Amino acid sequence: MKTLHVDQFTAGYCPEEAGFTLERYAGEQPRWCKGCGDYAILVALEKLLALKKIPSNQVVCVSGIGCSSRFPYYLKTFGFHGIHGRALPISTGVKLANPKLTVVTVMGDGDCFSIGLGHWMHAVRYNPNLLVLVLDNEIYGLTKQQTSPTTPLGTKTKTTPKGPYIPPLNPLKLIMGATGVSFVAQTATWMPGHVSATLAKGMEHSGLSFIRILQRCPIFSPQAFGQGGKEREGFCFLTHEQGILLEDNLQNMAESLPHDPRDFSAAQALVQQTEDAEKGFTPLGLIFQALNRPSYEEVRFRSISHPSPEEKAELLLDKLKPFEI
Amino acid sequence: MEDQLWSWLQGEEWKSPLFLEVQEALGMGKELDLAGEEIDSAQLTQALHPSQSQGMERESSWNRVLKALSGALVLKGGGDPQDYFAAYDQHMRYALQALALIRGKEAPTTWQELSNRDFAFIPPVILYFRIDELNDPVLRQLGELMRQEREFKLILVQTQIHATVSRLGRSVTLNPHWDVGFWGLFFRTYFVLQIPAHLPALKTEVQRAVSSPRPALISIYAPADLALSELALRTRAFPYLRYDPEEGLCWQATLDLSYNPEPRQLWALEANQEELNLGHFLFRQNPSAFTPFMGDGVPVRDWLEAEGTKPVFLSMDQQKWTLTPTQQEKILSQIQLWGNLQAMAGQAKGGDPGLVVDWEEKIDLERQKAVTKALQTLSAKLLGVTSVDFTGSELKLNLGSHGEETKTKREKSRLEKPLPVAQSSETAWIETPLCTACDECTGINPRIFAYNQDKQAYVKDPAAGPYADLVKAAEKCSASIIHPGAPLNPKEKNLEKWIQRAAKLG
Repeated sequence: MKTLHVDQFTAGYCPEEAGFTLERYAGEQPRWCKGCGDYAILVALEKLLALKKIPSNQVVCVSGIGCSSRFPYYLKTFGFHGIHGRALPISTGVKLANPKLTVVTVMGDGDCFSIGLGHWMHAVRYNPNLLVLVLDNEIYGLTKQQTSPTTPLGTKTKTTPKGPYIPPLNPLKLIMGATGVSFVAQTATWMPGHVSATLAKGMEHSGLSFIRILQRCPIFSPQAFGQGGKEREGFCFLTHEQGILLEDNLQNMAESLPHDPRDFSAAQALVQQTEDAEKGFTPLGLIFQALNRPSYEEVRFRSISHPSPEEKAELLLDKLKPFEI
Repeated sequence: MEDQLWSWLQGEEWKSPLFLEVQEALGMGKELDLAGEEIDSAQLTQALHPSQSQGMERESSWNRVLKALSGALVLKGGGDPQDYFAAYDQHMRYALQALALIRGKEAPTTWQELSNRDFAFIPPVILYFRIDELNDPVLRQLGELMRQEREFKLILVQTQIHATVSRLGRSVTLNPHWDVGFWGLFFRTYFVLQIPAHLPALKTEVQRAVSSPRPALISIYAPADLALSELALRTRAFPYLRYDPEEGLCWQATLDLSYNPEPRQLWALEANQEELNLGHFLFRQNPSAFTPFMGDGVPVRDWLEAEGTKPVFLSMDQQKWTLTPTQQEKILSQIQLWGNLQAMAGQAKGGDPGLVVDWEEKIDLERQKAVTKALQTLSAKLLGVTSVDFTGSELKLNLGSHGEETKTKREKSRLEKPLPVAQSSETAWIETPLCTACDECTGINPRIFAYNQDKQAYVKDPAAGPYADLVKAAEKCSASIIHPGAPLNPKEKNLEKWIQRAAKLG
């Protein structure tokens, strides 16, 4: 019987001669609603992979459940549409099995901050080298408008017709309190240039790059984030030479605030302010980055010794010695 | 290209004339004829034949002489300036010993006392920098190297210019244009050379700069594709300039622009007589930054000279492209820079009408007048004044009788808003770089809207559908970047309603 070698499969799947164009990374026709911010993220990701010239057979896109989690279908790379909230353990497994792969994890606010919260905290602690995108539209959209952990007070949903009873979760505050955090950034879909720059920064980082992407659901949460940045004031670009650099056309879209992303205390103080009801603001840019944290696969492969076949044979003989007759 | 430059610099021996003579004498066994050069030929001859009486000490000294005079010290920049100072001082110590050996006791004891003529004997110290980003360490190093007295020959090689420069957030428009060559002009004693790498005269020009008795700053644009370098020169994106303070005291004498195409004209022209501007260079570097333009517009040169027109960028294949405010600003700023260079180099000055001139000079005068007029128009538009006088030695600004009030509305808006409206409100357009590709507009009417190769939307044909579709798309656009403009078909149904809805969009 003729066996199909994995290289043959991948070579047919991703011909080098196709060049690094956007089409090369485009999978199925997206079925998101018109006006959805997910399109902007998909294009930004395709552009980034093309820019970095990463062959599509070297990329794995892992997702959980939700509108955002349809990413693996629309990206022509290897993909894993996981189960609800479990995208991060799957991604960690993929990365450990083959650390050379570029792993992109895509989750929604419900997926990551609710059912997947436990996995999220531990993945941050483990710090595998993943690009983690959380597409936060403050609602469960796929299942038609239920309250998610980030739904703000006053937002009427199918599960809370009078609005949520308790204030929303602040994911930035949570992750900045997690042990071993190494990269936290926030961007918004209505600024595609900023999304691209943030994803690029995250991909360059070694360790878990957590990027929260603010967006609205045009159907179920059109009012989110001031109608997708149209009305709400209080957005603020974090500026620093080590942070996300701004393109010309973004200069006038929000205020600027100098912030050193290498300063852990400053980052903690910053996210603390985002919950202040009066002075609160929404930072956009690189909030925190630690450069000296080893990734989980580095730690694992450093601590495990890999004996050669000869050494294995010797070890085996050692074990068998007591049974010698 | 950059690698070729580096290996050329290392390979080139930069020998001093004296060394060549000594070498020849050694090879041919002939006597040196250096009497006219104030050199102690007896001592030199003795040094050349040390075996009879001088012994090993003399021989090793002579080896040092040869080493000090044999070639330039070529170092890669980027390290601690103090190391370069130490290397320079060491180089000069050997050179002084060499001179002392040749001249006996008359040679100076410190290199600061060396005359121009002495310097001509000493091979230069060349520092080579690859400089694509003007960051703090580079600025600091260059500043430290340039402000002290040592005579370094700084070669700065750039492989990209006018690239999209991102910067930290500012609410005002500050285009970080920098021409590192001009920094050399700030130190007025420096020999400055700014030259694109494709020019055949590159080597002779660099040799001239290196052999100048002054410190030199040589800025070379050396992209991987030399066609880009040629385009940079033709579009004035990277003009050739040489500033040699040895040539005289006035700018006209010291500044040379001769390798630029049509150095007396403001614009270099294409074969079809259209002007070349920075836009052509930017377009060649990154065509995806441009979006197609629909409607009436005139090329940049005509736009500057005629009121009430809209600027458009014409690529070499005569296709029209939208110019964003940033691109407009870049193009204007670059041509203004070139105009100012011309004025400084005396290429654009009006001339003295009292002189008797022959017909060739008359033609030149006409050309100069045209350039001056264009410059006046350009500068007046940029400065917001009614006229600028370039003919005298001073720059005179005429603010008009009413000052501010005399500005036209268009001039005023361009001055006050750093980001003016790129297009007329009459034509539908999209701020393409801000498009989130959400499929909203292309879903409403794919004949009007389309995606470019970067998957960002632009108005393909505003006449391909009803005005209602343009307004609906603008209302629905999740990034609010569609501008529906004015309706093209006055007979369209319910047009008034749609115009009212469009007006609400601003």
